[in-house]
Amino acid sequence: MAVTRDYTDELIEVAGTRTQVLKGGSGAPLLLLHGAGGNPGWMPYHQAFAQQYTVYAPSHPGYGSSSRPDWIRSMADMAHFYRQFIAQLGLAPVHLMGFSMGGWLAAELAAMCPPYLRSLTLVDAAGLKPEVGEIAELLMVSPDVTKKLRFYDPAQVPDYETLVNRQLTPKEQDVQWRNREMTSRLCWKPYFHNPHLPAYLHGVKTPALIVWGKQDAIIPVNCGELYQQALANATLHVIDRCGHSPALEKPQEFLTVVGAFLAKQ
Amino acid sequence: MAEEIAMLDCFSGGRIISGFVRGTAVESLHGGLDPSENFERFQEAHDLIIKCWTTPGPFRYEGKYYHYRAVNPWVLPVQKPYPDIWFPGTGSPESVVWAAQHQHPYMNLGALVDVTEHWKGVYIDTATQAGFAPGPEHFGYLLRALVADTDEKAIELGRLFMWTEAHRARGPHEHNDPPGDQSREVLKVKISRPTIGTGTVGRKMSYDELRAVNNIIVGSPDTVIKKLTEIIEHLNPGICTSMAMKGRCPIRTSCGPLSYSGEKLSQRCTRSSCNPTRK
Repeated sequence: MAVTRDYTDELIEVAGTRTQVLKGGSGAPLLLLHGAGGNPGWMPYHQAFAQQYTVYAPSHPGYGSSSRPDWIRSMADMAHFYRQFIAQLGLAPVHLMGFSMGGWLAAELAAMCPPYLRSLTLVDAAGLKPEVGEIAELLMVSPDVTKKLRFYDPAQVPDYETLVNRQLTPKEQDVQWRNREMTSRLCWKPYFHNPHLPAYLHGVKTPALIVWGKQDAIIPVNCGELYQQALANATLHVIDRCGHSPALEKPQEFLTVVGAFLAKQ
Repeated sequence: MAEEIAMLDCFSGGRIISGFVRGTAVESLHGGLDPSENFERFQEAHDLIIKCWTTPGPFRYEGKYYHYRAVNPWVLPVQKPYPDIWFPGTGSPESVVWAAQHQHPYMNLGALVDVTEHWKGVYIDTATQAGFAPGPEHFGYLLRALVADTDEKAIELGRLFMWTEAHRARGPHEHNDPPGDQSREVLKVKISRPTIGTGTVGRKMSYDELRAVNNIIVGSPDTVIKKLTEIIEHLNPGICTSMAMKGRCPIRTSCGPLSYSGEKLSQRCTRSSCNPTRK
């Protein structure tokens, strides 16, 4: 177990799967589900949330140092894993927050086991097929292309060079490759969405906040609107001049709106 | 596919050799399939086809990728238990091991000689562990060989073998090697080695470099016979096939070399002795 000033980095066994979990802070549990690129590590927004909550930031099975069980082949499978994760760690009812592909996962969990959730936050979430625009190709392009699509203006991303644009070590490149393999497995077809998800979400009354970068070039803001329509108790907050990662690109506005929402639940 | 190959075996009076090819990422993509499933799908398809050839129908098949409630082939191959299966590869270790474990002849598609030697050793070791002694029929090598009247003419024509040097297929190069199509370990091996003008990773070798190491063999009949003999005696393949022409070569230009390759070369090659089970 690696311990730093702010958080711990542990490997635990969940549902027979070796799972890497970053954990820090104290308070009610807040479970953060990362996107298709993998666990970003302990970021400034994790640290900010850790002031009020116990933050859990696992690497999904198949990502990072987590093992890849053969039975997890779809987002529904992954949601079942996290249902067991929440139960095993005794986190329910948990504040659940999902980013991009992790947002899709969070939505599936919300539909699967509403009583496990205290709140749901979806940040530029995959999972629904847009009616306007399309989800960008991520699996058949190089990571450099994806990086360019991610932000509206990299210049406004604090610590962009150290947090986002740094050269990966060979070991990190191996991890990135493995992450992309797992993303292919989960998101290939239908591409980054579940056509049945709107039906699954019907009647889910969990308090939900949907946050979206207005200029998201990866998942169109229209998906945020569709999520708001699908969820019974949801608010949509669109951040202008912001791309796919508002937590990095517009951290102050992101933390303010999400913090206020979580405090009310 | 099982029925079509069986049909061909019937038409030919039991002379079909069935080549089972994994296919490339591009083919997975164009089939709408996740490339990371390529090898698993291939293995399951292999098992299902052999079952079609050997198990009376109707039967049910419920695998990971293929689900059929009623499989009932209407034609079976003449050859029993089923036609020979040849498995081609360029250098994926998983593929070589798989071929040996299933006792299928492994056809190396023109990798560099030292790489091919290595994979042949892997095949023999795996076969030994699997409990069978591979024979001459278990190892093959495909190479690019072109014959013309003179060395100079052949060298010039042989440049057409490099027609995929700049691109392996239409479309972005990410379509050729996406994550999951090959294992990370295989890709690292390929990145670390020079390529033979058909890959998208690793250092590309030039036409002249490939000729110098006999990966492309071009020349007059005497030159080609000499080089082919060197390769065959070095690698000891039980099956040696050549690709006599590639790329945009006018048919009239290709006829000469092909006729050389087809008739005169084979006559002069039979004098070579081979010991394919030697590493």
